Amino acid sequence: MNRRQLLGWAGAAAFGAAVAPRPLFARARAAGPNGRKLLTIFLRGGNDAINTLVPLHDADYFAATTRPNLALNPSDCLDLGNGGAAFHPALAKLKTVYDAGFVAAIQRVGYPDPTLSHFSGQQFVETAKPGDEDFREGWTARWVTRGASSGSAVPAVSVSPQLMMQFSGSAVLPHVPDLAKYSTGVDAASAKLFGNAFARFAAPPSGGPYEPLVHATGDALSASLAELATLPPYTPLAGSFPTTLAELSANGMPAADWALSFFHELADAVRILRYSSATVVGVEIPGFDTHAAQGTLVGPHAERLAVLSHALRSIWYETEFDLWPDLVCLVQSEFGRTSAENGSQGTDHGEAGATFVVGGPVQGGVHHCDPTSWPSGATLFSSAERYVERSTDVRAILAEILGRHLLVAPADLDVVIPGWGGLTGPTFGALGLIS
Amino acid sequence: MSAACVATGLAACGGGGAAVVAAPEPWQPAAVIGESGNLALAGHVLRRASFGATPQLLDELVTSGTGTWLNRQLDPQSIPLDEDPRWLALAAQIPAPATEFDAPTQGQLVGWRLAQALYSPRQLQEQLLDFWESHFNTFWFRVQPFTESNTTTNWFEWRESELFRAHALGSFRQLLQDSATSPAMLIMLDNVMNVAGKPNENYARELLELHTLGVDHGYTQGDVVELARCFTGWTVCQVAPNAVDDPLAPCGGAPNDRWAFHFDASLHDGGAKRLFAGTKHPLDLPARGGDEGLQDGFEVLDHLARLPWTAEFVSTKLVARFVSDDVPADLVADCVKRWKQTDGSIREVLVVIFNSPHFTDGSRFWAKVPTPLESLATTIRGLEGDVSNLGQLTRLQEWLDGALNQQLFRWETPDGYPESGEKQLGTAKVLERIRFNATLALGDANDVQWDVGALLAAHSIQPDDPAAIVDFFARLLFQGAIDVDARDAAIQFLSTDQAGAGAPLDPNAVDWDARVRLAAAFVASLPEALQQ
Repeated sequence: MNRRQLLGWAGAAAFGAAVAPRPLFARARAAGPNGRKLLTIFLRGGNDAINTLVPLHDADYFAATTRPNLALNPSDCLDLGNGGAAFHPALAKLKTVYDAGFVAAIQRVGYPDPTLSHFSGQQFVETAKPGDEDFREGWTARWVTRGASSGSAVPAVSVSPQLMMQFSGSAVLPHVPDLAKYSTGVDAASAKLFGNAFARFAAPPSGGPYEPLVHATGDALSASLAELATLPPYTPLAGSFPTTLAELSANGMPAADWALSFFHELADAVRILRYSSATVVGVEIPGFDTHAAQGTLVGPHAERLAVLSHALRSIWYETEFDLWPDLVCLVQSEFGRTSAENGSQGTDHGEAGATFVVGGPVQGGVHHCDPTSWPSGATLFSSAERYVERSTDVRAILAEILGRHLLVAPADLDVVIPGWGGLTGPTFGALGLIS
Repeated sequence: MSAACVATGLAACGGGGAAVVAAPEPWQPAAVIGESGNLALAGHVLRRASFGATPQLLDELVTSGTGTWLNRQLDPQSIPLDEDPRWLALAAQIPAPATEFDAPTQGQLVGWRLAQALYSPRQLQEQLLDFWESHFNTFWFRVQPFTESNTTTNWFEWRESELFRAHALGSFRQLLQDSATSPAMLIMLDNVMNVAGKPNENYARELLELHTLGVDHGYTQGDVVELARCFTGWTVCQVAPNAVDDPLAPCGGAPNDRWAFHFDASLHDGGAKRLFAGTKHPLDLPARGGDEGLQDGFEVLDHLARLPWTAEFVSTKLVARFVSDDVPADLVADCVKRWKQTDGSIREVLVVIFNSPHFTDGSRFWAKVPTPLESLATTIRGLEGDVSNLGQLTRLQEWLDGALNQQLFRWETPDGYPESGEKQLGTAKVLERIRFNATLALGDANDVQWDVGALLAAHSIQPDDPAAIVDFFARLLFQGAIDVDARDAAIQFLSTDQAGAGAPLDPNAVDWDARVRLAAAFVASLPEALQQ
């Protein structure tokens, strides 16, 4: 047991009666590269980074013209001890993970020529090729194409209502909206039908622009069904991934269907990470596009942060005795939001946002949200007098995780993040996220 | 322009003095040429312009020609709605509401879309309704919290959908206004919060990015800010029952008052505005106070509907929908030209598309991937499946709500359901389609009902002839374009018993029905069915 694991347990124990005994049975860990795993969590809609990782030291934040209704009260926020940054109070559970040393919180993450379009922004982050509207291949699909996960039928899985662009590309990767329904059914008659139909997908394509993709999808379906339909059962601890609206409420979260759907997917994601050969799994949380009445301590933004916070702490609790030392979680959004609130007590699309990197291998800490790197009065409106200017490129964080955690070789990194080797400048420096 | 305007009681409503792009000269409607005697072309036209071929439509288009059918479809009002008894039966179970107080249930709201896709004789109109619903997408769960009423939300969506359907082949300017004044859209994109002094940019941005110009296509962030100012004061409120079409009527709150589009002059930014400065198409709007401020929004819509970037963006989406995801640039150019001549007549743009050699080029015949809704409807229509009650419509909705993930009226993001083939595939969506097809054989009373014996008999297909049966299914679903090995596999399947032993297909045997149903489900599950 290393110091950080010890801290983790101590931190969890300090949380008191809410912490149920965690399962101790040994769980087989399937092999990715060195058994290492990556869970990506995409916050759809543009998370308001300023009210997530709050720059409490910046006088501009409290100016009457900035966020008269939306500025958080410092005494409500969760101080991170660097003289500047604090978590939104809804991130209390994440704070326990942070206190254990497992959370890197990075402010001011963005990309050149920022877009204010959700769809372009999500594409730029998921392809790792910002600025290229015509480039639609996800970085994970390219990582698979580079052979980093050879031998696995399910190297990466999109556990989401719609296949995420991050997983879309010439390598067809499994899309699993609901693991329980990812099977062919049981009776003999339908088994015969499925067997016959799947056999036809193995036939060589004979023409038509979508034939290769149709056949590759059929092949990926057959292969992934064989592995994912036979995963061992998994029973999370009560409350880890709430399955009822009442359970959400009891755990301090909104009683909302979107939250239930997300936790259902997250439980599937953890099960896949734990029991299958998958290395990269992705999930997403909708609804961060808070143009109106986003709220402070309560409201849509706090609700979503509470769900994220609960989710990350649950992942820690659930995997602490097996996956956690090899698991990194990457939490991203397409952009941040305007530094000032709008007339609707909400915020509009902005530029740089916040990223969290969480997990056993993570070197905890706060980046680019402290009095030194974030000068008070000169940062909140540093871009176009509306937004926060980026200090870290999204690709720098991805490169660090891919290189240091998934051990992607430099030549492959250059393909997975197009042109990575040629990118230089202060926004591309390593932050020391992986210990 | 007054005809395209809600009944405001104002003298003019858009199309006024502002420096918009000039109106076109008078023009004559065009017709589609089309041809007869070509089964492959008939199938292609039906895959694009309807929710799938039916046995009857295939025969009709081969005999009378694709042009005859398309020209009729381009004039949907000329097609009587009582052509299909199945449509009439479903319509009787989903009465059209007159007000929000007799609004449909959510099952009826979604069921109506499904019923129309399956059985409406106005199939092209229904394809376009689907297109506009995505283009101007509103998300039920984003709208509902505003009034906190499920029935009012259903009413908003129903009303908006009926307008899109009525104007599906009309002028783009009208459709733009149907959306801009739709309570569902005003709430969805926060325009109800957009007020003078502190504009909310959400609607303005998506109006440019998603509804008219396309992303980063002829506008700047400064234009978004100016555009948001134009729509300040556009909101919704409850007005007297006789005033639902008057945005200037006073807001009330009496028990019988109805939710409607409302212009609140006190929340409107009355200052002058300048959009698209520095381009070839600047728009200057004068300072004006009071109710006249409503004109800002309408004049902006006039301007946007005539901008060449709008014509290009919307035409590109239409070509992607009706021809192929790989959009021929010269066809878009022809569409833009016709758009300009006809002031954005969607019907006329479609005529250009249907008459284009790209449309009839065989290389485009299977060049798309059906959406889940198209997949389900194509199978049901092709095999003459029966969906005759709300329970069965609800079951279909459950399929779409699940792993197929095409929730009607409940797609979350404002860009609407995606059209490209890459977005329709994915392992879960392929699996789910096959699972759906299996219900043709294994379903219960709430699944699609299907009398396969009657279908074969009606078309004089010998029930003991596996090859004839497979060829018949292949004709209905793929117009015969089935892989030879797949055909052999299906024939062998029909000639084999449950234990896998060779056994001739016998219409009097107990397993005949199951064998034939499974064979149909198999044919419908082939890779061919994932291309359209």
